[in-house]
Amino acid sequence: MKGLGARLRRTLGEAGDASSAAAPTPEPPAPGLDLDGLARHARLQARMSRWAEANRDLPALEETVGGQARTTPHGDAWVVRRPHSAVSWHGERRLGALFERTCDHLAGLVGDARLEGFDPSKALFLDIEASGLDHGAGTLAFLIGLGYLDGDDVVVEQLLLREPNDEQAQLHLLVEALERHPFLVSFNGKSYDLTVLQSRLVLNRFYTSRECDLKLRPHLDLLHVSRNLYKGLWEDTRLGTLERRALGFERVDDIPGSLVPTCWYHWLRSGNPEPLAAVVEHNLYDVLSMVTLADRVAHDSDLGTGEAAERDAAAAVNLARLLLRRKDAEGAARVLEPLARSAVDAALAPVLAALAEARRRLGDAAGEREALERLVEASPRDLQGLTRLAMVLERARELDAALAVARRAHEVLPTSALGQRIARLEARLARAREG
Amino acid sequence: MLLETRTLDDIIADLTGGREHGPQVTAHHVRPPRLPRFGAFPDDLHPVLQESLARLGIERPYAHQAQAIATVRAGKHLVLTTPTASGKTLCYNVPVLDRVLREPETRALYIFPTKALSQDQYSGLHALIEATGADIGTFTFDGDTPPDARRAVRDHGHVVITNPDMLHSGILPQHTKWLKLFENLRYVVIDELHTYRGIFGSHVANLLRRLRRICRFYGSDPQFICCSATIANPVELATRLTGVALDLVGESGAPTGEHHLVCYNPPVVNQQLGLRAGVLKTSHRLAADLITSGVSTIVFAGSRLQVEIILKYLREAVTKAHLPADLVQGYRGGYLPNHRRRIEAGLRDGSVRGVVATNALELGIDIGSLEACIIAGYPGSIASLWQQSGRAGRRHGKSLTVWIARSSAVDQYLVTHPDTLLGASPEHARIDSNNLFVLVDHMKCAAFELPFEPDEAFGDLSLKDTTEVLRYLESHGVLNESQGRFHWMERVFPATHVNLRGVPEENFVVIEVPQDRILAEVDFRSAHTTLHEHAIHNIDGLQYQVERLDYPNHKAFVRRVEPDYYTTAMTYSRVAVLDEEEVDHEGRLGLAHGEVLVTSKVTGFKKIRFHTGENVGYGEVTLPDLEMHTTACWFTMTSAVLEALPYDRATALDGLVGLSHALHTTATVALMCASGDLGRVVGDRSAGVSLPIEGGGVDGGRGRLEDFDPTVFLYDNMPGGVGLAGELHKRFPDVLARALGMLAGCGCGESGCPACLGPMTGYDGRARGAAVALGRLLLQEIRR
Repeated sequence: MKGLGARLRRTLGEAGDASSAAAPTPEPPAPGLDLDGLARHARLQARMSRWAEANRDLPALEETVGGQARTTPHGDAWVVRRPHSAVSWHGERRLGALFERTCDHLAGLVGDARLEGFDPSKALFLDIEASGLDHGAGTLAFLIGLGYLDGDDVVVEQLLLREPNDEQAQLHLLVEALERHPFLVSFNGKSYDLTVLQSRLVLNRFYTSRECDLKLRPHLDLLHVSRNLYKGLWEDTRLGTLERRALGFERVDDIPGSLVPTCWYHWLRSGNPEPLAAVVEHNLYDVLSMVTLADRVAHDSDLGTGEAAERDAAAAVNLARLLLRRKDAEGAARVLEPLARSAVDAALAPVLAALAEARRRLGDAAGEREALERLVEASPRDLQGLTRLAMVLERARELDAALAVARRAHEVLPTSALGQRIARLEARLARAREG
Repeated sequence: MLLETRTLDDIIADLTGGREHGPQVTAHHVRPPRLPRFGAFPDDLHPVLQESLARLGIERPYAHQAQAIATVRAGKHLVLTTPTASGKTLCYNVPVLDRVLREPETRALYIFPTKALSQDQYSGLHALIEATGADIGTFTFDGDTPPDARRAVRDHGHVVITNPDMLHSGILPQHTKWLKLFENLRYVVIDELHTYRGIFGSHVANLLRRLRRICRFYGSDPQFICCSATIANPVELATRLTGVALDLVGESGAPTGEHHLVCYNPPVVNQQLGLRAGVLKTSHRLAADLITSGVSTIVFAGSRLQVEIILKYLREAVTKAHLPADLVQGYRGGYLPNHRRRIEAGLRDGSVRGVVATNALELGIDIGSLEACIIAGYPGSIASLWQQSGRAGRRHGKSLTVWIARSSAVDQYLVTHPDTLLGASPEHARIDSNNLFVLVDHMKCAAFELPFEPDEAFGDLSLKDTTEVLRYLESHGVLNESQGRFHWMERVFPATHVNLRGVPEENFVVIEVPQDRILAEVDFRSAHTTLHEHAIHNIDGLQYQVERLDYPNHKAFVRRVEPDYYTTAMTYSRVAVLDEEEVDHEGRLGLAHGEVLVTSKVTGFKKIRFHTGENVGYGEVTLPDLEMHTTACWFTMTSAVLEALPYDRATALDGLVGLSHALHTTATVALMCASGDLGRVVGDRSAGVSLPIEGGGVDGGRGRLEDFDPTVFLYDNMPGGVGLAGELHKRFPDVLARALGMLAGCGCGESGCPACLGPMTGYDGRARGAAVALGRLLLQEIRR
C-alpha cells in the first residue's frame, strides 16, 4: 500500500492556496439598496479586500486589537479590557442609567422566579462570537464579550482566542467572572450563546453531567423580552434594529454577523489581526447595546415610573398583554387606563380589547362591558369584540341586545359556535315571550 | 362439486416427487425439527427482572441465550450468530436491564440499520420494561423524534434506540448535549451486523471509531454486543467494525420445525440459446398454487420492478380463484411508512396471505409466521438467501423454501452446485474502513467532534496515516494545527455532507398528475433507470408513465396508464485509469489493479411486452452522466495478441466480452460478493471507447474498434472501493481457471449461450471459441 498522503492528493486533489481562498467577502448588495447602503457596502468591500492583500507587513495583535495576555492556571488568555465611564453615552442613552434603576419588576415580567431580586450591578452581560452558526461540538466561541459594572465604570472585557489552544485559559476566566456575578444578561443567549458555551465547558472538562449549571443560572434574555415588548413597533426585533429604533445608536461600517466565522478563520490562516479587530469592535457594540437595551426594557416595563401616559398605544398594548400572560391583570389595567381615556378611533381598538380582558380578569363586569362597547364602536367588525360583548350581554340577561350583537358577529364570520349562540338566544327570547 | 384441498405436504411432494417438476429440482434438503436446549438464568439475576421474565412466560433461557448473558456479564464483547427467530433480543435485553436495575445511571445504545427495525425493537423492549414496573426510560431517537422530545431522550433515556445515520448526524456531533449518555455508556448493541458490509459497513466502522473516541473522552468504554445472520466471518467483521476482540456464540438452542429447501432450475425453453423459463413466471405460478391452497407465502424478488410484475400476475391469479385481490400485497422500500405498517398488520391478522417483497423484509421485522417462501432468483448473497428463507417457519411446524434460479450465470453456477449453498462456506462480509473517501469524511466529522490530540491515531489507523490525513486536511484549510492539535476550521457542519449509505444524492419523489399526489420515493441512482421520461414506472402493481422528469428538483411527474408493456433502461459505462504510475503491472498483458474513474450513462430504454417478453420498441434517454472514483482490476489484449488468433477482429472482441462475462461470474462467487458489487467494462484505458455489454449501446461506433487495445475492467462498484479489486488481482489465476472451466463445461455445448458468454446478438460458436482461446492465452501469460 502506497503512502496515504500521496493517494489522497491524487484522488481528492491538491490543496489550493488556502489563505486567499477563504478571505472574507461581503455578500453582494441587496437589490434596491439606497445610495447610503451601496456606499456602505463599497467601504466594507474595500476594507475586506485590504485584509487579503498579499505581501503586506502585518500589524501586531496588540496594536490592532489591543489588550494583553493574562495568566491563568491553564496558560495565558488574551483579554481586551475597556472601561467606559458610566456617564458616557451609547446612542441616545447613558451607559450608567441602568444601574441607578430598580429592576425588581423584571422577574415578574419575564415570568422566571430565578430573576427575583435582579440587580444590574451584579449582572454579567454576555455575548459570544463563534466559529460557526450551529451548536455542534465543533463550534467554538473564539470571542467571549463580558460587560459588568465596576465602580463608576461599565467594563467590557473580551476574552479572545489567539488560537484554539487558548480555550482552557479563556474559559477559566469566564468561570471566574460567572462566580463573581450571580445574574446573566444576553440577547438570544438561551438558544445560542449559552448553548455554545456549555458545550465548550464540557469539552474542556469544566463541566460534567453532575455539574453543568450554565443554563440553570438566573438569566435575562433580552431577545425574548424585546420581542414581547416591541413586536410590531418597528420592522423587526433584531439587535441592529433595536439599536437604531430603541437606543438611537447607529453602527458605522460594522461587520455583518454572518461573516464573523470567516474573519476568525482568516486570522488563523493569515495571521492578520484586522478581521479579528473588526469582530472585537462588533462584539463591543453588542455588549454596550445590551446594557442600554436592558435599561430601556426596564424603563418601558416599569409601572412605577409615572410615565405610563407617555407610552404609545402599541407599546402599551404589548406590555399589557405580557402582564396578562403573567397573570398581572391589575398591572395591565394600570398601563391601559390612561390611554383608554382618549377619544375613540380605530387605533384605540387593541387598547380597548386588552383593557376589556384585564377588567374581565379583575371581575369588573361593568368595566369590561364598557370597554367592549367602545371597542365595537371603534372597530365595528371586530369579531372577538362582538363575540365577547354578546356573551357579556347574555350574562347580563339583555337578550335582545345580545342577539343583535351576535348577529353582527355572525355577519363578520358565520362560525357554527355563533350560529348556536344565536339559536340559543332566539330560543331563550321565545321562551321569555311565552312565559 | 368436489374441491381438491391441497396441503403444504402435497405441494412439497408434487415439487420433489417428480409428478410436476421433478427434473427441475436440483436439490431437496430437509432440516429435521430440532428440540429446544435450555440453559439457566444466572442465580444473581436481579429478582425484579427474573419475575418479569417469568410473567412473560420465559422461565428459562435457551442454551445460547444463557451463554450470551453469561458472556456479557463477564464483561466480554459478544457476537451472536444464531438464526432468525432464535430469541436474540433477550440475549442483550436481559444483561442490559439487569445492570440498569442495579445501577440506574447505566446507559445503553442500540443501533439498528433501519428506522422500521428500531420501532419494532422498541415495542419488544418496552413490553419487558413495563413488566418490571421499574422507572427505565427507553426511547427511539431518529429523524422522526420531535425536537421537544429530544431533551427527554438525552436526559432520561437509559436505552436509546437509534440507527447509524442518526448517530452520525444527530448524536455524535452534539455529544456535549449527550454527556449523561456518554459518561455512563456501558453497552452498545449492534443488530443485523451483516448488513454493515461493503461501503455501508466501511462507513459504520468509521462511525464506531468516532463513537469510541468520544466514549474515551468521557471516560467510558462500552461493551459491544453484536448480532449477525450466518456468515463465514462474523467475528472478523465484528472486530473490523468495532475495533475490539469479541467472543462468539453461534450454536442456537431454540427449537425449529421441519424445513424443506428446494433448489429449482426452470426448464430450458430455448435449447440453442440456453434460455430457461422465466423466474418471474415460475415464481408467481408456484406462489399462486400455495396461496390459493391456503398456505401463507412470501415471495422475494430481486428488484422493485420484479416485485411489481409478480404482484400484478399474482393478483390476477387469486382473482381468478375467486379470492380477494388484496389478499396479496407488495412490500418494498419505496412505499411510504404507513402503507408498510398496514401490510405488516394484515400479515399478522391473516387478512393478507401473500406478500411480494424486496429485501426490505429480509431484516428482522416481526411479521408473524409464514409457511412458505419463494426466492425468485439468487438475492446476491448467500446470507440474504438464508435470511429470506428464514421468513418461512419462524415458529414451529413444517415450512418450505423454494429458490428458483434465473438463467444468469451466477444462479446457474449455484443451482448446479447446491453444495455451495448448503455447505459451510457462505460469504465473507468485507469492509474497507480505510476507503479514502470514507476515511477522510469521517476524520473531518471526528475533528469537528473533538480536536485530534498530538499522537492520537484514529481507530486502528496507524499514527503515520492518521497524521498524513490530518496534514492533508490542514493543507486544504479544513483543519487548523496548533501545538500538535488539529482543530476543525470550517463553518459548515461536516456530517450533513456525509451519507452513510454511500449515496450522497437525494431521493427523487414520484408525483402523480393531475392529482398532484406523492406516490413514492426512488433513490438517486435508481431514478436514472426507472424515472427517465417515457419510462413505465410500477407502483403497487399499477403502471404509471413518466411524463416529465424535473431532474434539478428531483421530481418525476407520472400519469396512470394501462400499457401492455413495461420498460427497461439501457446503460453503458466507461472506465479511465487515473494513474498508470501507481499501478501494479504483472506480465506481458499487464494484469493490474489501481484507481479508476467510471462514467455511467443511461442511453435509452426498451419496451418489453407483458407475458410474452418480446421487444416492442426503443426510446432515447438524455440524463447527466454518473461518475464514480473507485478501484478496478484489469488486463489489456494488445492488437498483436488479437491478430495472432485465428479469428477476425470483431469475433475476437466478442470473445473478449464473453471471457469478461465468465470472469465476472466466477469472481463474484470467489469473492463472495453480490454480482452488482462488481462492475464490468471492456474498452480502452483512456475511456474513449467501450464495447456493448448487457444491452448497452456502442460508444464511439463499431468503426473505431480498430483503433485501440481492448482492456477488460472489473471494478469495485462503490466510490473508493471496498477492497474487491485488490483481492481479485491476488486471486486472479484461480478466478480465471474457474472461468475457463465454466466456458468449457457450459450445458450449451460448443455454441455459447447467455449463461456462459453473457448477452450477445447471436451464438454461433465462434465467440465462445475466441473466448476460450483468449482465456488460455491469458492463463499461460500469467503462469509464465
